[in-house]
Amino acid sequence: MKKTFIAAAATLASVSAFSQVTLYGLADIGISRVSGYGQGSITQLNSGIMEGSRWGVKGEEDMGGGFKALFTLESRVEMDTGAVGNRPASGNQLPDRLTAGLPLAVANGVRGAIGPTLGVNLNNTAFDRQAWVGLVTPVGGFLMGRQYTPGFEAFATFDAMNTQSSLSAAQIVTIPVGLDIRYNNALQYRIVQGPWNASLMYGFGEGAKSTSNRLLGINTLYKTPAFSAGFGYNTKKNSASQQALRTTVLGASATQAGWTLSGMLARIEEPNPSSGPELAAGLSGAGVPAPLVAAVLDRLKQDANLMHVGLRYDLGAAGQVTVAYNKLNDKRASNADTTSYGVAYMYPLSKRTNLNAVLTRFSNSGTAQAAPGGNGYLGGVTGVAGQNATSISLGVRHIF
Amino acid sequence: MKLLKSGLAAVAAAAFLVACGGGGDAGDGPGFDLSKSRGSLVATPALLTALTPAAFQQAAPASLFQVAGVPKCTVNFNYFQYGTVGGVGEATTASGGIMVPSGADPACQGPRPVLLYAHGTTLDKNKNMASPQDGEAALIAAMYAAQGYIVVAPNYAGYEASTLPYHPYLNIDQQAKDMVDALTAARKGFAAVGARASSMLFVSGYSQGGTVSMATQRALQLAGTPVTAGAHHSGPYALGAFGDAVYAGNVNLGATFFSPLLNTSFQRAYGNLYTSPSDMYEAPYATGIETLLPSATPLPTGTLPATALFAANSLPQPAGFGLFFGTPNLIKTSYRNAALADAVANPTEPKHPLRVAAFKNDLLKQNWTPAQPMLLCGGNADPTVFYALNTQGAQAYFAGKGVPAQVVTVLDVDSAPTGATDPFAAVKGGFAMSKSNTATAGGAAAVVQAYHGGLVPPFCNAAARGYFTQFLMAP
Repeated sequence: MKKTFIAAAATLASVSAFSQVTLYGLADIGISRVSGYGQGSITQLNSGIMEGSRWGVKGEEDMGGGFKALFTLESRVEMDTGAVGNRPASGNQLPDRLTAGLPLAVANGVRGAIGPTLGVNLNNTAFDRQAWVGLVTPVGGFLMGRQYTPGFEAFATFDAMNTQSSLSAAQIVTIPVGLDIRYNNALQYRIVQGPWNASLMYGFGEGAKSTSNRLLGINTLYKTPAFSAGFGYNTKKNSASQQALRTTVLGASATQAGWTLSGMLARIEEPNPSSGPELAAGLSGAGVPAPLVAAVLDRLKQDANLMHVGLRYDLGAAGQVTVAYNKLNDKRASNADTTSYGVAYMYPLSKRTNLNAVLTRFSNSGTAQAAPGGNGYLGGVTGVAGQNATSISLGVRHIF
Repeated sequence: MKLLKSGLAAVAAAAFLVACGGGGDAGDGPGFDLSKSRGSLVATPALLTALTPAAFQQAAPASLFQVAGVPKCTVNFNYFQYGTVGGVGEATTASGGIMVPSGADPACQGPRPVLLYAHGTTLDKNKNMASPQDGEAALIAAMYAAQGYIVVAPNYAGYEASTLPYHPYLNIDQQAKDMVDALTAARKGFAAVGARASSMLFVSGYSQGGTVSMATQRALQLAGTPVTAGAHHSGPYALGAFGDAVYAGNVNLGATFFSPLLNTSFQRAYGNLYTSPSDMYEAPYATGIETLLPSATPLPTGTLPATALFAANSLPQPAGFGLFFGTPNLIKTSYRNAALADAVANPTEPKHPLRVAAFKNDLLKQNWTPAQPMLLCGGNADPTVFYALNTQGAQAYFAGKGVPAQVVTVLDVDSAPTGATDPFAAVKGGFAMSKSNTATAGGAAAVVQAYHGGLVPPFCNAAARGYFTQFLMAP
């Protein structure tokens, strides 16, 4: 049996019709000015305003008979510093609601535990953006490695900004994280049937138990040039195998005469904090009494609805202009509601190079204090709860 | 395409519903008020620990319960933060404790009286009346919460998690507001912590807190929301006269620590005590003294003089107060002399800014009389807060204003019972025994050291609880 399989594999290899490896990437950089921070307005050179800057290699081997092997290794790169990760402009600062009203020592403990973890790829993973190998078969594709989640794929599809810039709906659900973007140790099955495609993912948690940290994701998307609709769903357990972040995305878009209208609803639930067990262990170890540990974890739970409406107009050679409106309704008593809205304009200098201007207003009410970031970096938090922010950015994006 | 459009319309409609679902949600999790406005409850109070009667007795020394009685109720120690103001009305936050009794004993059931408690002077910035690990909090929990009182005990602005960078020490206007704001905020959290309050409100405090609680009784009376009764213990009520006495050389034990707290509070409030701290303080101490106290870490020995408030050659030096004159000393002789000269020239209408400030915060110079009953408790040999000037001074002040004797009850725990009907006979007997035990163990010096901070507090609190009982039973 084994022999037969190897023979079959050898046969496949010998009939390989096409094989190639591509070096690719994207360099996105520009100047942003964001108001509302504790220290006032901040002007920075930012990498990853529209899309996270990256380089990668990907390969594909067509083995014939409907079989293909694929791989992608994609590294994050910060065009402003050359680093592979970044931190928000607000540094270690947490939303006030995570520490307000807690005893000083406990508040400081929470700040110390969570503050330094805010950022992107802080452990400097080499191929943080993607690292996977896949096999495409006549009955679908099987991908294994670090990959985008099905929930994120649906989200990105129905966000009129496709998660780009401060205007993306994703920007108001960053702290705490409202959507798992990628997952390690993930096995994904994908299938495409005409305008339909669907994905099923299982992220092995590789924790103490097989259910620890595991993620299940599923999506199904229907796409035609004129219309698309679909849903995505991620559900994750934390290291103690408790139900953690669960995100459900429902969206649709329609295109006619250069106009594309997109709408999306997302349900964000986190009945147990994703990093709760680790935080609880740290606080307990520091002598924080159990009821207070529970009170801290309670502040990290989520129960919110996200709504997005966006309209894009394609101006042809003159580019694209997009307006969008996003609203996060925090259903918990913390009432951290954020509304963001604005306009983005993309002007193509060439097929591979474009200029982008984005103006976004973040309106925080209740205890919300979201600050606008970019696709590849976090905005962090505004100075105090309820403080609004405005982001204006001008940048260039080059795709290679 | 038609189908597609209706699908999009449905999406838009659902989005609209979500959008309209915003605003204030009474959902799960803690609620917040981060406005810092007076009396705002910053967040839903957090439970620190619960002590059953058995656990409480296990955790605290038996002597505590010999005075306080066997605990009847489980006490939940909750921590809260509230919005209040600093010494010049600046918005800030402070923290405190809400102790909530529960249990099957009738004393723990039904609507419970509320005690608003003001703590005494502490140099420890981490003071936390929400924690039974604080000795004063444990005492008050045993005396009141374990016996069925809901206790609200603020830590004051400038302590613990408060964002105020100093403490408005004995600023009676601010401290009364601080107490009232703590109570207002705590009441907003009562339901969340399972506290069911009756209409009875008592206010009490010890030492600094004695003055703070009297100022609070006055403030609530002026606000038209009077307390049921107050019990003020060993407080510096007569701050003007007390300050004059100290500057005249009758220095109190602890003056080298109280003085920077008080001076900084007044300097922050009025800005005219000095141009530079070196106008007032001797060189070894002037630098950084405005931010020295309260301190998050214990002060290294020598940071302040142990007792030498005034210079060795500064005059006058009354007999028996030699301890408070030495080298190095804290207060410059030139500053002392200026205050002394003003006390001679303007005994009742001060011109010197330190004396003006002390008079302004003297509860016996506010032209008021209590409308609700109060107990004034202390010990006549108190070396830290002089009994005659303050407690008897208050008694005389109120009597002079025609306050009926039954409204102001004065108790000297360091006195013999007046007879078989003396309601405070047991307290006096207990104090005498405790004092005697201290003397036997450590001599007269030990009694002096322990008098204000250790010997008197349990007995004044026990007396106060007994005193309050008469109002609980009233219809």
